[in-house]
Amino acid sequence: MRNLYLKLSLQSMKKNRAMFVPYILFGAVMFALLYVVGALAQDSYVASIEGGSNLQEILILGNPIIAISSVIFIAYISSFVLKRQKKEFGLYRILGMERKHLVRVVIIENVLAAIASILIGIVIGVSLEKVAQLSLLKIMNKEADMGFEISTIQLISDILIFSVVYCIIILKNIKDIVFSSALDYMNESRTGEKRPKANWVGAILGLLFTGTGYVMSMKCENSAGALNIFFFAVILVIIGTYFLFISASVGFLQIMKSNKKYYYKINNFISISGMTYRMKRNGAGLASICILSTMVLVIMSSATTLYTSMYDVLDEQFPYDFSIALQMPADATMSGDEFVTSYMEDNGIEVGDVKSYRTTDALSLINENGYIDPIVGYDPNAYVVTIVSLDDYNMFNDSSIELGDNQVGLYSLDIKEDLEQVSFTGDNAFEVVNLDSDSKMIKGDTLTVCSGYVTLVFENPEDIVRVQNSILASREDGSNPFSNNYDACVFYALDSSSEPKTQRDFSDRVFNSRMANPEGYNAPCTIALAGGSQSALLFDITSRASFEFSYLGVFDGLFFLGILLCTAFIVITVLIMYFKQLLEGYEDAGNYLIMRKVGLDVKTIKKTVFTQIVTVFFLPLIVAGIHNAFAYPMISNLLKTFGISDTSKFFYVLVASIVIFAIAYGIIFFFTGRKYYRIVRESAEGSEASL
Amino acid sequence: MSMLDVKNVKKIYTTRFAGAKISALSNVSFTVEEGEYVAIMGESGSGKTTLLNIIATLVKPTDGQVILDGKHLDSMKEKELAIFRREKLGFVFQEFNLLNNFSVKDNIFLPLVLSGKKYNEMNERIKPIAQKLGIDDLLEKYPYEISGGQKQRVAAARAIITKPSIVLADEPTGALDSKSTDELLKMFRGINEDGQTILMVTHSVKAASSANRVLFIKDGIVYHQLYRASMSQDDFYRVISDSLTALTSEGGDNKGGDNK
Repeated sequence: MRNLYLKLSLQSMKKNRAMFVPYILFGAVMFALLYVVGALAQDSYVASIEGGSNLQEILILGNPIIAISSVIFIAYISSFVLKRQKKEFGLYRILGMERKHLVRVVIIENVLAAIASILIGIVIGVSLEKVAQLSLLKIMNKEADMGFEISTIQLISDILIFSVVYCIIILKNIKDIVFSSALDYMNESRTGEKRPKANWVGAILGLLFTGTGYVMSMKCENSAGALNIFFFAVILVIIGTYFLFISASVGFLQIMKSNKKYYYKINNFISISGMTYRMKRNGAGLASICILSTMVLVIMSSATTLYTSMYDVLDEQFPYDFSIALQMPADATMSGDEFVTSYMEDNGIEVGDVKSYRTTDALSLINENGYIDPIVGYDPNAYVVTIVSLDDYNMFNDSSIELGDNQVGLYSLDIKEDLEQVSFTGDNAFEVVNLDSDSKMIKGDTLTVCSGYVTLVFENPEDIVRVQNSILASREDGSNPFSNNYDACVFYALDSSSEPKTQRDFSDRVFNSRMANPEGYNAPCTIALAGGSQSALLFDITSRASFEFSYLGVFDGLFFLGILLCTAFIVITVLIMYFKQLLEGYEDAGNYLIMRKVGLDVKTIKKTVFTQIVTVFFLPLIVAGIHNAFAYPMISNLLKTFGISDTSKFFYVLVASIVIFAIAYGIIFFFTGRKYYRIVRESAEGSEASL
Repeated sequence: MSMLDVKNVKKIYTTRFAGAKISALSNVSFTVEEGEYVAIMGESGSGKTTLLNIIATLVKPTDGQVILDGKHLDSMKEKELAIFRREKLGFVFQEFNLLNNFSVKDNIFLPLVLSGKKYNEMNERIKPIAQKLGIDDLLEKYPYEISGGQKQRVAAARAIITKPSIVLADEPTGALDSKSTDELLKMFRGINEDGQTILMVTHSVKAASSANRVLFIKDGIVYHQLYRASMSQDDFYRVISDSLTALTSEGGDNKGGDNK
């Protein structure tokens, strides 16, 4: 008996290979992607390269995303497969098989499919991991790793995850079989066919959810706001999209139908009625395609923007290789510039010109009157305010801007109001002169999730000291919101010709010694020249090279994760499209002949049906485009978190992504559509021959 | 001039794999006059459905001519044929062939919409027909919501709403219970009495006995024909039944009976 079931299952799988082969391959590809992400996140060679550990932290984020999408979409696609088999099962039932026998057939089929998926997945995954690792190293401009490793732990955990996924699917299929009668199966294509009714509540909810998500994104003004609303807005739009595709689409068609003059025209008549049923059948599938396409576009455009902007961001934040904040003792025998040069050379760093300047910054709240209130702690509505003197500004920018008494130069991309004056606690108010460019100095690690960045340029350095002192005096608890006291230390900016690695090792050494400082990392510590001829108090040291490596890890990691996720989402989209077209083909085949008999010529039938299919499959793409247009403000603000202040690049990348994706989508549609035509043609020819 | 003139029609199918030739119609000739109600009888495989499909222009004959309402069907192109089908022919099929994604009303309107008729005109035309066929209260329903007999009446309404030259019915009672069959046949007679030419293919003696003339097809040729003349339906039923018995018993020693 057991052999009979196995035979039946194998026969059924062979007969329905148009469903089973893509289903098995889909499982395999998802398995492979999950393995690639997990294995790369643990790859010892990747961990050993500069920035590698930052990159792996990012990659690990991809694991749950791919695992969850695997569960959802493998279950979704297996429901197509089962649906297609139901007629056959009905026949088995009528021929005398019991439910438990059918359950056995379904279990065997699913277990076979699962094993096939996982085995193929392991092969693809292991080979793809190597390819992925090599391309990752290429992206990061690192030497190729000639070794080969298989992460057994990752394999085992992925096999476990997928076993759970397939168990859930088997249980779901068994439930389906247990709860339906033989006749249900035979009449599967007829049952469930309910008159399409516009669900106005759903339609309104869809508009409401999507609209709210859109408005939230449109109102988004800064990175803190974007981060706060991002997930909420995304979920609203996802729910809204499902409602729109399922309810609003049918409602819209019903409205068109109620206009008799418009409706009773050949093309409209056939298209509207056909579309009503197509949307009713495919609403959820199309909404999924739409959401996946939106995600692909968002990920593709933002990851590419990040990847290509990395050095721009780095150059903007770190125009010099080092910035060192020092306080020379009063009895110093040499100038600060000389001390810095000697100190760096002691540490094996070749230095060029040294520029000295003073600066300070503080996270501050700014109200609409320009009142600036530095804060201690964190507030997402605050701005990072950097203060410099006019002389230093002109030195860095090679400019000769002049300011009058009581004037302050202001540069900010983020403050929306046109401030006429800025004021601080006490009697410190200044007239604002807007500047065209930011002070081109190292700002260091000021990238935070906040409202934005403001640079203030004071004509007279004494004003800065006065303002800072009056702010500090106003604080009864003695807290200090400033990064440093303006007059206490001098900053030295310098370029180095040493290898980036040497620069980074030096900065790591300083970092480690400061970490070991018993008074805390931020406490000033004493550094001395070799031989102890001179010492100074070190406040801070910022190295471009060390940031470069961590940026490299983060940006390249995001880009690479983006590629993997896009691949996963595109694979899912292709599969849904393929199965939808297949099922549409079976549905349409019967209607073709009837329409011919009633007097429609083949050309008209083909034309209207083709229009419907194109509309059905390009609607998600169009909606995805609209979603992206509305998501633009939110995402461009999110990108500011990564230091991308000029979002015009993101705009162009987004437009290019949409164009490229639309072309790819068209190609996918064309290839999956051929399957549709083959089904329709074959069954039409079949019926003609039987006439 | 006859409404329909079928002259020496032959149809030979070639099977797709073996390439063997199967003759469905050997040589069929007959005419149907305007206002006639003709039934074509024969066992399954006798070629009667092939004949109907040739008249319906869905299948081209291998040889011979079909002239309908003065038009030679073999000289028309696919597009002309489509127009011809929807303007000159009305169809009633065994499987109803209603489109599930249209309401009953829209199914009946389908051929009119194809001819570009205005909504008001269509609405005027449907009223008397729906009343006559007793489907007024079904118009807003969908095909999957009504019974088989009702579906067949809807199909009949769709067939006659274009005021066709001839209604072609293929086993119209094949999928109906006896009550629905009686109703449908009564309705066919009614339509015929209003002047509609009907050509019906059937193997049901009951259905055939509602016609005015019965043609018997066997082994691809017209074998025999009967006129109703002044007979009652019951008498005609008996005559048809007797002829059929004679026909099938003779069939035992008839050669070439392998074209099923």
